[in-house]
Amino acid sequence: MIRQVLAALRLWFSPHRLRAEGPTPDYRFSLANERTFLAWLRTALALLAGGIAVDQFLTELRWAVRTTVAVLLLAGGALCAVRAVNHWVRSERAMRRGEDLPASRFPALLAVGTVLTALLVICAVLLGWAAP
Amino acid sequence: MSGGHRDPGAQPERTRLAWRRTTLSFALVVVLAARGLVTADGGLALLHLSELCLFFLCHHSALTLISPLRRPRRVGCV
Repeated sequence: MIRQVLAALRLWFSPHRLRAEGPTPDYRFSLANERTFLAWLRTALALLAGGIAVDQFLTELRWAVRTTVAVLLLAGGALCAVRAVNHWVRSERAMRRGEDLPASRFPALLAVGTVLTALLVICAVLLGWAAP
Repeated sequence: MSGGHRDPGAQPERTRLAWRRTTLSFALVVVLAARGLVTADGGLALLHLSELCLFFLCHHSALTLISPLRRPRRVGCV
């Protein structure tokens, strides 16, 4: 597990070594891959902004509820950022090797996590967990 | 993936715009963090300050990265 993490980190931070693999893809595919990375990163930043906003602005919510929602959003943001760079690098490598793009359960997990967070806030609002 | 065709199309411009959108999102996070820094307790102030530094670092990096995209590395063989 640790070895996988270290290998992933090395891959993220060595774009030149990645370039040594296989033929250079069409520019359009590499740039499209980069835009996908940026879209994931914007998702992560939006989740970060949401988490900070929940912490700062939803002061009527009970501390436990507010903190749980904020931490869920912030953690989701961190995970999306990791996913962004990891998928970008692995996709570039897959394009160079002529392999399939890496499959991942992360989008499904993110969708489920977002639904759960939304349900939590809906319950907080409807059931009056707002009262401190 | 076509063999010799190297035309990047509109991709460099689109990618530059994507970087712009991303730095805007980052700016939003920084504004929220700065607001927290101004209004809140000292414990989070250091976190927010480091976020501000990270923002300026990323913004500068993004601007530096954008400039090579202004013209394609190699003109495609038409």
